[in-house]
Amino acid sequence: MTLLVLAAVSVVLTLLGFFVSVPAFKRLTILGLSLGLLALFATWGRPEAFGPYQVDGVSRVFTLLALLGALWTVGLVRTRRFEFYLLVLYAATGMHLLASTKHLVLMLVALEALSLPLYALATWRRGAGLEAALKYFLLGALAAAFFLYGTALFYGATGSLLAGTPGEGPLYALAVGLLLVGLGFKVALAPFHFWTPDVYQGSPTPVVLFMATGVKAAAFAALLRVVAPASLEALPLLIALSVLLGNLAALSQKEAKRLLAYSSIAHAGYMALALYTGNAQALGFYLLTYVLATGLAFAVLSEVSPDQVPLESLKGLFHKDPLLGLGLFVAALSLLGLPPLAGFWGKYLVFTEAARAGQWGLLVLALLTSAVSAYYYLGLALAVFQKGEAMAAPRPLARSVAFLVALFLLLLGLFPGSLLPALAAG
Amino acid sequence: MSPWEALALLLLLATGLLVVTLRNAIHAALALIANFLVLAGVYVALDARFLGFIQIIVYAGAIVVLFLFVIMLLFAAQGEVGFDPLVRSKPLAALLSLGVAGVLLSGLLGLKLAFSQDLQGGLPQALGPLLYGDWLLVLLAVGFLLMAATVVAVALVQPSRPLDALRPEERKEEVLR
Repeated sequence: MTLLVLAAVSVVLTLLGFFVSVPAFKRLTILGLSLGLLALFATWGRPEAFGPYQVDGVSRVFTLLALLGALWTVGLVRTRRFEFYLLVLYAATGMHLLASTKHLVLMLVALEALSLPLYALATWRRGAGLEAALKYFLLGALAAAFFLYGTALFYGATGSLLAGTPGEGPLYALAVGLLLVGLGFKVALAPFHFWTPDVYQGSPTPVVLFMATGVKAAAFAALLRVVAPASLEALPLLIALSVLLGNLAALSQKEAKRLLAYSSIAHAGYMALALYTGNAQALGFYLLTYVLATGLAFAVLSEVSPDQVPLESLKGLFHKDPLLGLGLFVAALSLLGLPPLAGFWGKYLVFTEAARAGQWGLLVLALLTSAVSAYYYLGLALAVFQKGEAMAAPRPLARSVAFLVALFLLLLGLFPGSLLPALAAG
Repeated sequence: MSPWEALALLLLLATGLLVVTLRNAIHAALALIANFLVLAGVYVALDARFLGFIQIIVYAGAIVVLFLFVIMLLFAAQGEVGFDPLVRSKPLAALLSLGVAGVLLSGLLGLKLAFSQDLQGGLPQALGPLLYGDWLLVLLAVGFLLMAATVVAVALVQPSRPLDALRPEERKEEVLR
């Protein structure tokens, strides 16, 4: 149902784009994405299946996050070419497909359907982002090749193309490892993170918002299906590298987007902790808080400047514009995981999963690096209160959305139990 | 290993090596065609005849021709590349590919496939019902992917504004870009 709606809207809008004005097209895209959300909610809690396309709880929650990210991106962007909105719509459709299948070949097709539009979106402002986008494209193509190799070997090892088929032996481990490389690249797990800082810094900020929210959600849904059932020896190494590298490299960053890029690597590591027990509820909740917080941070940054945002230029944001300043403050604290905010419960749930799996070493490492991350998150959060000459574009709607999201993060932190059953019902 | 298999292995390895070591890009592309042709022969021998023909038509036919076009456009019709864009990366690349080969080999050695499918000679008659039966959704998804890829390609080459709205000097820049 959701797939039908999204695909139909994509096709219709592709044709309509030539006949309507760009602002009208933007509204139509928002309408289309909202229709997708509506279809998602209308079938909430009821499994659907068509061949290898299977919508279950995991797929619903993660699609919801991807669609929210897409909506936010479309809402924030003003551009002269309608293709931008169309590409976001395509990518959102790909994300839904990726989150709703166990079939590895379909996963690969969906992975490409979400990546190709993103490669083009990353180059949207010519010049500055071109080099980063080329890097993203080349490494992304390589990752897709790894995924394809993994798919072929998986079939050889198990005789089935459905992720989660049990298997054994070196070939099986190799196959799942290659699949993990392909997906790990998309979620920016170290050591497959090399593209992240450059691309986050060079791409337009709303596109980065989409990468950090939608792509992460969809790829983690796939990881949950592929990696969680096959306990891998390489996973602890990836997690340890991600949380260490992400947090330590972020300490010395002077530019907000680059800082958040490293923070996104670290968060990918924390999320991967939930892969041990394969608890979709914990991972879904963590992703929800992460998507809202990081989306909020990037939304504020895109109001400050469409380009790079040195930390210096954030100073005085609170005095210039209290809502935006407060939004960034709440976002940074939620990313850090400070108790009254939703990010705390996300981390709590994920760390509990790691404890349940008996990964005490990783748990200690994650706690320590979380403490380290306080340094740069607080630097980001407190910069808005310092004296300075921050500038911000006056856009009331974007502002009220930022305020609502900040409020939601606070409420979710105070009453986390109110949403968990709905996520579990999915 | 039968003599034919050994011959195919040798040819594949030799042409593959030629592709990465030849200095003239056109010669390298020709070696790639030879590699694809041998691979097509392997497919046919494995009872995947349709795949073998596709390999020849799509890869040897279309994709290498695309390579040749790009080579001719980039190097002004001279295949002589003459420079190494990634200096001193060759030993590292060789080491990496040997490593990958080793890992794959160790995974594949002693593998017993517990399943087999009747390929019926690997002709389209056997593939068609599968493609439009079990794999229908994947086929549709590929169609969607191709549509998205088309729009992506158009969006990538488009100027930031319609060409007739640009000033002359901007237009020149867009064309050169």
